Amino acid sequence: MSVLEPVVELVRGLGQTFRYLFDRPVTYQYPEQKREVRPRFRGRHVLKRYDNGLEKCIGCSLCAAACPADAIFVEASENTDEKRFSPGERYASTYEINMLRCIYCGFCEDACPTEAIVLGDNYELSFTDRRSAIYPKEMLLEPVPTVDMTTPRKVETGVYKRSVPEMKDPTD
Amino acid sequence: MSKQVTLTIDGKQITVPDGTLVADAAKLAGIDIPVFCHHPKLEPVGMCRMCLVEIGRPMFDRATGQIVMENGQPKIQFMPKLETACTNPVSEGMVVLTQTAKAKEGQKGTVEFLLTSHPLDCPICDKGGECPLQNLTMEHGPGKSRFIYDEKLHLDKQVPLGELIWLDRERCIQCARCIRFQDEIAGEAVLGFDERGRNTQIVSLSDPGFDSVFSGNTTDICPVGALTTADFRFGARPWELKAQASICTQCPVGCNTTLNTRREAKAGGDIVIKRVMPRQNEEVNEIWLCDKGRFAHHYVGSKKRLARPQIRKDEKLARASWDAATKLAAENFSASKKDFVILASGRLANEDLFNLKSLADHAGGRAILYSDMGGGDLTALVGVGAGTNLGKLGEGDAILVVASDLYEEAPIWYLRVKQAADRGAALIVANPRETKLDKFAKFSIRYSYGDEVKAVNDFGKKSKISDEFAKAKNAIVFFGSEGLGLNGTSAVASACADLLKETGHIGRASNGLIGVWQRANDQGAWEVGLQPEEDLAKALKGKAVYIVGTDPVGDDPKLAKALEGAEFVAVQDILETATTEIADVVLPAQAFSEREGTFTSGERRVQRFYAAVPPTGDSKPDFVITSMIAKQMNIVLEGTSVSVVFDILANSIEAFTDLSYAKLAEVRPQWPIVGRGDVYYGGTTYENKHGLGVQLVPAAQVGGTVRIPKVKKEAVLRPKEKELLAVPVNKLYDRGVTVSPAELLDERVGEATVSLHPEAAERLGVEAGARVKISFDGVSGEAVVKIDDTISAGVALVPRSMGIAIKEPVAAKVK
Amino acid sequence: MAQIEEVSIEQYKHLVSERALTGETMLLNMGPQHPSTHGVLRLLLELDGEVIVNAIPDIGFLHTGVEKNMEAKTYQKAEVMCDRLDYMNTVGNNLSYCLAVEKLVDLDVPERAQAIRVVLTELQRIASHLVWVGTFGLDLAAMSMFLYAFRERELILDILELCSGQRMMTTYIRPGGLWRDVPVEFEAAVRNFIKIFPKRVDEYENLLTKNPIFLDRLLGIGKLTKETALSHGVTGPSLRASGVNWDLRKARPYSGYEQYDFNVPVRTEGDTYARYLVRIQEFRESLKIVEQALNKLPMGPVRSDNRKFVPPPRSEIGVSMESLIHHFKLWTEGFPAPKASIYSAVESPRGELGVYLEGDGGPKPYRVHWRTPSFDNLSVIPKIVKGHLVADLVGILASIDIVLGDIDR
Repeated sequence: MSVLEPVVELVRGLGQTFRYLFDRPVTYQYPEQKREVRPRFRGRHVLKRYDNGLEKCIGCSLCAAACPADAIFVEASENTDEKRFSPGERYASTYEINMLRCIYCGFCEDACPTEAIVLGDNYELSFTDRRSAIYPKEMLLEPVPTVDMTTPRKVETGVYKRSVPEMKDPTD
Repeated sequence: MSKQVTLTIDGKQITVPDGTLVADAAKLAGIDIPVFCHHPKLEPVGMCRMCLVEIGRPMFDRATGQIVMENGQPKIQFMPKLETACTNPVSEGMVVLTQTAKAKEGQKGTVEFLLTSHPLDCPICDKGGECPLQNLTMEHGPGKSRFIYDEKLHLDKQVPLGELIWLDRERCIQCARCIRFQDEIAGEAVLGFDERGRNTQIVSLSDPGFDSVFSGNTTDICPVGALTTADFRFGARPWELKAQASICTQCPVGCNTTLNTRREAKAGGDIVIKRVMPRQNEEVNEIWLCDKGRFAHHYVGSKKRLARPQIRKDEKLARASWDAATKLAAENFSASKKDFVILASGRLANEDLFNLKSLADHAGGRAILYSDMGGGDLTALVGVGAGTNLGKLGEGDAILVVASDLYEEAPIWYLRVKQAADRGAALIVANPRETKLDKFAKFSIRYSYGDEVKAVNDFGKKSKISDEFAKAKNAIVFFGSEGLGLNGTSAVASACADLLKETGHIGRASNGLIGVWQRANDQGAWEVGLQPEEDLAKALKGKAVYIVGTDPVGDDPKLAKALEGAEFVAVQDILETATTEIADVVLPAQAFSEREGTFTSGERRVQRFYAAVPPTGDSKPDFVITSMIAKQMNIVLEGTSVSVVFDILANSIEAFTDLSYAKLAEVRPQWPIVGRGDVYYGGTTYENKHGLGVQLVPAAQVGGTVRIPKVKKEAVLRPKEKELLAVPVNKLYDRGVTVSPAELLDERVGEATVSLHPEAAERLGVEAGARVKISFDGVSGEAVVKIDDTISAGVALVPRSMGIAIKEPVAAKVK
Repeated sequence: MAQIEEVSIEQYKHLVSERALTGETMLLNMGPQHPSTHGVLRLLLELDGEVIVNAIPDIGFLHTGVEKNMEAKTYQKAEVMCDRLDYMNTVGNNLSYCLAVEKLVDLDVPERAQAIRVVLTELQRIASHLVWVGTFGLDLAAMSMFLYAFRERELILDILELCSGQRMMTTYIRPGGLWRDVPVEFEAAVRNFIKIFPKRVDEYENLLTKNPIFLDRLLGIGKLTKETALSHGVTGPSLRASGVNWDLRKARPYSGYEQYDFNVPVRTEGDTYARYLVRIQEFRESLKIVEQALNKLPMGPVRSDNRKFVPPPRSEIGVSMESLIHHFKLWTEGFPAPKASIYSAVESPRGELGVYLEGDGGPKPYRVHWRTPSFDNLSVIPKIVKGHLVADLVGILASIDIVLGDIDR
């Protein structure tokens, strides 16, 4: 190899990096600039409601059973038309997720027969101690659409009887 | 040895007794044929068509009657269509194919049909996770549905069949297991079908709804979530529950249970018992439980549980340390010397009672059993022999039930005795009034209250009944406390023991005397050496009393008065009671589910129970507390390991020789197979992996002659003119300390009642449902009148433990 | 007061030569916390000056009991543990496990799912090699290489996030097919990547391949002979750089790889430089596969129809009783596997990644064992670093391409 060849190769390499000096950087300046997450992103859990404000969660514990990390704890109770939380006979009176145990795999979302628990977009979770990492139902439930649709509330008798709704396949 | 039949199932050759159904034979061979309506303990009906299999039998030549042979083997002729395995008994040379395409198609079709009307309830159904329909759909059913959702049938959901059981009509698959159970096994046909075709539904035929103490068992055998208990509604999913073996503490049968526990937020983060399930023990309770055992477990988690030791300071109870409390008790007990009295009840385990008796013996005091039933010394002599199994009695055997309403006092014994009668045993029921068992009895004897001993002694005279009893191959006598007090029961027990000895029915298995005690471990208390006292008030007055596991103050005002005059009262119990209110020292004890121990059932079977939940507060097991007090009195009693206490017990008491915790935990394979992966076959009863228990050998079986002690019978009270004789009877759902905290049973417990003959009611001018005041002997209470025309006109039946302190027949005034 | 354990030569007597015992050679601990060991790997080096006499790997610092944990979970739930094994090749781990489960229970996979699996696995291979080339350059002081490699890797992680919602621990490949069908933006994103990537590979080559410093440091270093490689069970690019033409995608094709036209780069020198060149070429070959698979992507379902093993689609749960029951039982209890044992392997970026699965008739595996490539690849390190300098060791370690999650599980 000639004496010049190593120099040529070195210059070629250095030229590469020199060119990038003037190129647009690809770095996001977090936290001022945040990249938006993709539609299917698996972040913080949210317990969804129907449009009429009733909770979708029927306390069936399928999410707790499906969770590979045993992060979900569910206790169910009886629903009545006088004090209705969700349609059907059963609702979740206790619903806790241990955010530190959770691996954000989305099995709970897949296992839910009512599309109640979904993994949302929030990934900025931090805790100062283990106790505050256990999110109770109040922290997970999404807010009501309007104030008069709060749960629990009294509803007309015999209307909200179907626990497992007809769902659409996810298209996102 | 019954005739054996050899057949081939799926290529596997097995030999089973003649008369076995193909579905059961397959199970014995380890092959699972799916079933819904078939249950090994019920008669087959072939209603659900799930067990469709191909059955072929050896072909017979019509002309010669010989089997047609082909290549040296019998030619097997298969039916053109599938047959149900549950209705076909086995026959010699039968060939059964369960895995052929045709059979699988049939099973798949049946599941598909059953699912057409089934509601989409799995996520909200309590049965999900232990549901035979789910399991069999996964194994045999189709993966996709061909049925349109909108055409599903809609029926009532959450129908209360009585307040204990909910029925969901949409989920019912009309297998009739519940109806058949109530009809065939429980003997009370309170359920039935209504409507027909697609609309067939279950209805309750009784008022109050589902009026049977065995209603909980239908939820175990129901293959879907149609029948569920109100107690466990939405409690937890089966996989979230931990299971621990235990023994029911509500009656002397000693049913084997499994306690399902879970750590709950509803309970503030405590581990609580969610439900009580039966555990299989074919020698005791088979796979059943009565409703009292199933639903009356709430006292363990009650808010009124004692958690800390307390000492009375200035008229009030204040918290104290264990050292201080036991020291104070020990000082007072030591000081009282011969005036030291221990009052214990059959609620305690064998080990607790043994330590108490040891303490009494060493301290020179006295240990009294709180009970108004005698005769426990006789059951130690002529009790049922080791190896007794009520399930084996049948044709040629005799059972005599004296002065006991088994349905109310020991429901599972009622079930077993009734089934023995169904199998041909001669059931003789001797009772002053009609009870539910009379329906199945071969002979019913009616005597007046007070004539119990005479009724038993009449067996010595020649009569059809006594002949039947005398020549029976095996005979068992149950004696209870219907209308009897301490002396009365002792006399009856003695008379029964004499009868058994005369007729040679002692000293072997399935022969002997069984006492239908009022508490779970009364038999154990007798074995250890505690005995009841006739005049308890006198025995307590002025003494230093150590009351363990009983509530005399709440039971009887006379005893309350006696205790007021006692020198010192130390109370050791699990719940706050009237007695703890007046105590000088309160010692909190652990409930049975928080510790290990053993109970001795009425059949003298010693069974182990295990710890299922953590202890409440700072409570300790009873035997530990006794040992702590003993230590302060310079008496050494084992107080650390319960199995060591049992070993000492086994060394000291002859009947318990050779027993140890390891021996009590031995299990044997049992039939039918239940639980685990076979919930569809036997139900959701739990498999028994923790011990079947061991029966004690009575003195008569050990050998040598047995002398029956004579009992001096007191004068019998008779109903006088214009006066009522109040007699105590027993009620299953009463206001006992361990039953009251179960609010679900409140309706069944009801109010205190007094049952009168219509004539007596007329004389008093009251009707059914009227409120009256009944008073006798310093006791008075309010009761609701019930009319019963099967009793005599001079008696008033007063149930025990309902707030009116009655323990033996007594003349009473009713206003 | 914490106990301080005295470490003495006695503990290592059987591992090092006698010269170490006399103090002639020095024992240096290239400890678990080290930027160049590609994870928590501890190397005990016996040095004669700068020359390595002996290098003893000490592993186990990342052991989390994955195999045991998987045996305590149902087949479905155990899959999430697979991602976390070789965390550079998460999609490949999922694929390996799912192929094993499908083989065990005899489950079919639709064509479309197989094609998408190939696309994602190859993209994951590119991503893994990008990390490798980035850290390789970084270890050898070419820092900008790292930044460029990760810039490309971002595009791949973006594609994975589009499909599954997670950038690394995707759990996108499930037994019976995929979790869901790819979104509409998938094709455009992959095509964009295919367009820009070849030029980028050329840029990397510009930076490194003929670089004199690079050549000085890598040529002739860490020679791995064919015999040594085969006797130690080395697989993957390390093996192919030693002259053995063995790639599971060609030798034991799976998931439809036989339909795609690609070459397997093989070199004979067996030194660090050869391993580098093999991997650079693999970039191009993988991209070829991605393009072919994407062009061929057939229409159809992405999940098997067999409801006994694969949960039904969501739209059916609300209207079909059978679907609801199967959904319930599969998510709570799982499906039972027959009493059989199988072994199924795929070609991961590091070599042969195999999983041994033994079923016992129940819903949980009786035994799961992972035959991981980095474990066997690492075993050859003591042989090939003898006589080299410590500085060379860094290069050799990087070229073998180990991931500690793979080794320790």
